[in-house]
Formats: sequence, C-alpha cells, structure tokens
Amino acid sequence: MSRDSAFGTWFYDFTQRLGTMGVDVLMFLAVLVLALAAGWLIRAILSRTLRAIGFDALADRTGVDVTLRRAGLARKPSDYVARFIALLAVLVVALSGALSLRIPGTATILANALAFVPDLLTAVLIIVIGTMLAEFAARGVLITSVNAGWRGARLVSGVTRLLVLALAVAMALDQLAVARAVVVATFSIVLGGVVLALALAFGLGGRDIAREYLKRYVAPPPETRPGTEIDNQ
Amino acid sequence: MSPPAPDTEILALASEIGDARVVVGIPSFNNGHSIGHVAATAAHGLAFAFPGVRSLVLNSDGGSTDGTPARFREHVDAARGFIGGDAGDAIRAASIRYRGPSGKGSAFRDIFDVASRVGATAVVVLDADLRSVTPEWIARLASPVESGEFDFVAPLYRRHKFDGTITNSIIYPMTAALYGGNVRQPIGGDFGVGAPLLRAYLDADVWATDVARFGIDIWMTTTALAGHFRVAQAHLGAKVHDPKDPGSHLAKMLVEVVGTAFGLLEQYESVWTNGIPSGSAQTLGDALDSPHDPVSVDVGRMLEQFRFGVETLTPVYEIAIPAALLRQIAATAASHGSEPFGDVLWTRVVYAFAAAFRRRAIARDQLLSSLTPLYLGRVASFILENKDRSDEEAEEQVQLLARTFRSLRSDFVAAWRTERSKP
Repeated sequence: MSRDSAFGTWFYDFTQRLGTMGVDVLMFLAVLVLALAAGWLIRAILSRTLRAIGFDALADRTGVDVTLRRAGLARKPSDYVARFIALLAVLVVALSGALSLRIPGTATILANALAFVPDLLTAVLIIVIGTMLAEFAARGVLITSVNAGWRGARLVSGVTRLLVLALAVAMALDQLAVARAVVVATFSIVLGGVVLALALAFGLGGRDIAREYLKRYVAPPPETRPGTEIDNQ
Repeated sequence: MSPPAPDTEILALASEIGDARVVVGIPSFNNGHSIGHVAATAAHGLAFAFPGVRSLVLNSDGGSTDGTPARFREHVDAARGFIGGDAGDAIRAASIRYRGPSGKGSAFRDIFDVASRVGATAVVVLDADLRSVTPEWIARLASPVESGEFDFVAPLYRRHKFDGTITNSIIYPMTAALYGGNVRQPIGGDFGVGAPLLRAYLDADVWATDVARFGIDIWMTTTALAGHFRVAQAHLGAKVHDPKDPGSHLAKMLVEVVGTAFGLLEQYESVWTNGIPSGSAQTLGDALDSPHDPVSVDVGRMLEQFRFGVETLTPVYEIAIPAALLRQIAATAASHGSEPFGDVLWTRVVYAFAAAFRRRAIARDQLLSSLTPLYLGRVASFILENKDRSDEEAEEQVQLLARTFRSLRSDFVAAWRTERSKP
C-alpha cells in the first residue's frame, strides 16, 4: 500500500468519523436545546399548578416558607420545587442526549445517574419534611416556653429546631450514602453533647424550674373534671 | 357520626323511672366533697318549684374514685326524707356512669338521653362543685322552659369585676356581636333546656368531638342562638367557685374555650355572616344581691408576660396577624401598662386570630396558645383601668367592649370571607 493511498484511506476515515461525530454533536445540541425548552416549560407549568393548588400556603403554614427565608432564599417554595424538578428533567434528557455521542462510559454514567435519582428525591423529601417538623416543633416549644414564662424560650426553641434539622440532614446524607460513618459518628457526638449539656443546664441551673415543672405536669390532678374544669371563664 | 346506641344502663334506668317532667342533671368527677350540697339543693328546688310533679335528679359520673355517686344518693335521699309526703316521693334520684370521651359534654349527653327517654319537658344542668346554688336556681332555670315560653335559659351570675375574664374579654362580646341575643354568660355552666332544643342537641353530630370533652357550654349556647331557639337568661346571684388568678394556668383553658368558639364560627358560618343579629335575650327574675368571692390578681406579672410574649413571639404573630396590628400591639406591650390595650385594638386582635384560625395560618393549637400573652395584656389593662371602679361601673366597660365587637363585625365578616376565597 502506497503512502498516498494510506494517507488517503486515513483521511477518508477521518472525514467519515468527523462527519458522524458532527452529526452526533449537532444531535446532542438539538437534544440539549429541546431539554432546556422542556425544562423551562415544566418549570412554568409546575410552578403555576403548585401555586394554584395552594402549595405556598401549605408551605407557609408548615413553616417551610419561614425556614427558606431564614436561609436567605427569597423565592416562593413552589418556585424552588418547580425548578428542582425541571433541573432533574433537563439532566436526564441531557445525559440521554450524551449517549448519542457514543462516548465510552456515557451509558454507565447515565445508568448510575438514573439509579441515583430515587435516592436524591428521597433525600430531598427527608429534608423538606424535616424542615417542616423542625419549624413546627420549634414554634410549639417557643409558644409553650413563653406561656410558662421561661426567659430562655428562644434558646430552647432554637436548639429544638437545630436538633430536628440536624437529624433530617443526617438522614438525608445517609440516604445518599455520603460518608455514612462520618455522618453517623458526627451526629451521635453532637446529639449526645447537646443532650448532656441540656441535662446539666436543666439539672444544675434550673432546679427550681424542674421542681415546678414536675409538680405541675407529672402529678397533676385528673385532667377532666366535669363541672370544675373551667373555673375562670 | 351518629350518637352511639343507648347502653343497657340508660335503657334500664329510663324504664325504671318511667316518666319525669323535670330532670336536674349533675355531671361529676371526684366531686364527693361538694356534690351532696348541689344534689340536696336540687331536690329542694324541685319540691319548691314543682311540688308533686314527677321529677328526677340525675348524676352523670365520669368514674369517680372518691365515692361521689354514693354521696350524691345519700344527700338526695336525705333531702327527700326532709321534704316528705307526696312532694318527696315525686322526686327520684339516680346515678349513672356516662359513656364516651371523658368530659362534661359526654356527661351531658347521657343526661339529655335519659331526660328525652323519660319525656322531660325541662332539663336543668348544674355544676357539681357549686357552693352558692340555692333551690331558687331550679325554679329560675326550669320554669321558663317547662312552661314552654323559652327553649333555653342561660345563667346570669353576679361576679367579681375581675372574675370570668375569658367570658368578659372574648366569649361574651364575640357571641353577642355575631349571633345576637346578648347572652351575658354563654359559658356559665348551669342551664335550663326545653324539650325541642334537647332533641336538637341529641341529634347533633358532636358527641365524639371536643364538644364532648370540654366545649359543651359554648356549644349549647351557640347552638341555641344560631338555631333561633327562644333564649332567655335568669338572674342567679353569685356563682361561688374557686377563682383563679387569670395569669396562671390559662393557656390550656384559652385553647379549649376559644378554640371551640372559633370552630363554631366555621360550623355556623352561614348564620352569622348573613344579616346583622338583633334583639336581646329576655332577662328573667330580679337580680339577687348575694356576695361573691374576691379575686386576687398579679397585674405586674401579667404585663411582664405580655411584653415578653410579644417580643419573643413576633415571628409567630407575623404569620398570623396583619403587620399594622402587630405594630400597635408591640407599642402597647413596650409601654408596660402606661398605654392601655384598648377595646378597638383588642377586638381587632380577636377577629384577626379568628381569621387566622379559619385559614389555618399555623397549627390551630399553636395559634390559640400564642393568644395567651395578648390576652394577659388585655386583662391587665382592664384591671388597671377598672381597679377603682365598682362592679357595676366595670360592667359598663364590658358593655362598651361588646359594642366595639359589634361595630367591627362587618370588617370581620369581610375578612372571614376573604380567607375563605384564598386557595
């Protein structure tokens, strides 16, 4: 085989491959544009639907809205949910489009990414529910503490919120299999430390309050006493 | 949910009693120390008001462990012996263990059930811990309904100006403004009920709800007003009970009473949002000039809880009530009593909480609990303003508050409707 003819063959193959790759890249770009458009559409529709069914009001009631604002996230909760789902859709479609490039390993990456989606959604769900529970518990503790006249109402409420949120984050990270051993150990140490600190603070600093609390709530008279239950109406 | 099927105890009791025109019901739970006096007084009252008429004194007990039913029987039997003759024989006595959730409402349900089965035309219910009850109470509560002139008789007690603060601050003015009738003691606890209303009570689908546990008094009054039954109120003199400092142990009470009243706003929305109520319940009998117990209050502690509560619970109030209202509250709280918690501000607060309750701004129990510091602020303000006034002069201030509730009623109706239309 002559050099000219060998080069000619190589050049022919090269142009063929380049042409095929060009088509693939163009296809990928087209898929990407479509994915972005679909994502935008999904976001718009989902955002409006969630608002229409009162999702933001629900988030407001359950404390999610407050938590987001506290974290500096000023958009409506429905917008974040819509954006998240739209982003997932774009990612999945984009990875599918990458398959068309026939890059080695793309199929594996796509399979792994798709397999990761349920765990990711579960983790997000855990964080959302954890946030709601944290806000609910913190608010309940705050109101009860204020009505009991405890000066440390804000502190107790804040610790409650932090503990519930920490538990939710630890569970979410565990769901995502992110440094499981470290997460569990860290959470156990922090929780143990907080509980010990609270026990010491309550036991040593608040003996009178503890005595009053126990007198009032541990050995109260029967709760329901028909005829006498509401004496100061 | 329909009322539970009658148990054999009630059927057997009704069968044994046969018929009774007037029934006096006494709900109880570990009231052994006080029920004897109430039961004996009820028997004497029946003999005095309805001599020779077949009647029943019925104790509906929640499983007392201090011998309450035995004390009840013992005192009624002694009273019957004292009355003697046909008048004594006409009075029967019975004690039953009520069914359903623990609470005064469940006790009432079984009293009403028995009364209905024995064909009673009038039922009187009395609290088991009354120390000031007299035989005349039976006549004043039962006669107007027994004669068929009225369906419901509410009590009109003579109270210390600082007693009954939940009634004076919230329940009375709100009930009068929204349902009419001007019933001064909607949650008094001692009532007279006629047969038509008795039937309506028994048919209501509430006996497995909070009404059965703690909301029975406001429910009975509201149902009578909203159902356009003929309502009256009878002077009974003082209601002597163990008064408490309004600043202590009241969050739970506030949640229960105000929660039931707000819940009834939803149930009877079609009644109170349509048309302005008019007319007042007729007041029966002469005022009885019986002495009442003094009430001691700690205004300083109440004002401090008000200030601390507003300062700490601002994030909660921001969700529940309008910002402008919150600013006024904050200014009042910061003044530590020098700026009064006025009628208009307080009325707007109550209506704003009712609207927040309607839209479930936050969990309802939390919302109602968060009202406690504001309520304390209002009560403290009322006490400071009226400390040198007589009971009668303080009563005029309560009437002014009721007028304010009426004057802001249309704003509240509009706000309530707006909440309903939100997604």
